[in-house]
Amino acid sequence: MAPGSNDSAKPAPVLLSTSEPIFPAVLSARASASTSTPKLAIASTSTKSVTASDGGFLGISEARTWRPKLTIKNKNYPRVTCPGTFFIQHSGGFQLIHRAKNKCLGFYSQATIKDLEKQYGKKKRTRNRDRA
Amino acid sequence: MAKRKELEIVTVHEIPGDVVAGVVVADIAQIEADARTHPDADASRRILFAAKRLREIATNNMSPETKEKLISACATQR
Repeated sequence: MAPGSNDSAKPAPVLLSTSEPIFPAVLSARASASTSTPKLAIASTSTKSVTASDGGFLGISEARTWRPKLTIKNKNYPRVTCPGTFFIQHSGGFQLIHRAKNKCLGFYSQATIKDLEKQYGKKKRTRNRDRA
Repeated sequence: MAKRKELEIVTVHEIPGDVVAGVVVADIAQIEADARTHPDADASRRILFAAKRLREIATNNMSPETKEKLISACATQR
C-alpha cells in the first residue's frame, strides 16, 4: 500500500431502489448534462424507438398478462391463464404453449405456477355500492 | 411406448408480441421460485432482490417521475 493512501475514504456501494434510475442510458444522460465531454456510444440491442405510446420495455406492462381462469375443468392444471396460451403437463411441471403458432414459450415448475396463482389467481370482486 | 414429441422452446426473437408480457412475468416467477431453493443463501437473496426489481419495472410499478426519466433517456439515446 502506498504511504498516505486512505482506503477508509472510499465510499461504500449503495444499492439503488426502483425510484432511482438504474439504466446506463439515464446515467449517461445525466453525465452529458453536467459536463461538456463528448457522449460515449452505448451498445444497444434494439433499433426500435421507445416512446410511451408504442411501448418498448415499458410497453410490456400495458400488454395482456395473467388472469384467473373463468372455468376450472381439471383441478390439477394451473388456475391462471395468459390469453393466447395454454399449459401442457410436462415432466413435473408445465409447458406454456402459444395457441396460434403451437410453439413452446417456456417450461415452468409447480412452484412457479403456485406463485402465479397467488399473484394473479384471485378473482376480482365487483361490489355494487348502490345496492342496499 | 409412444414417445411424446418434444417442442423446442422459442428464442426471444420468436416470442409472439401478444404474449411477451405474460412470458416475461412467468420467467421472473420461475427465477424467484428457483432462487428460493438455491443452496447459497447469499446468492438466493441477491437473485430475489434483482428479480423483484425487474418485476417492478416489467409491471410498471414505478413512480411517474422514474418512468418519465426512463422514457426520456431512451429517447435521447437515439
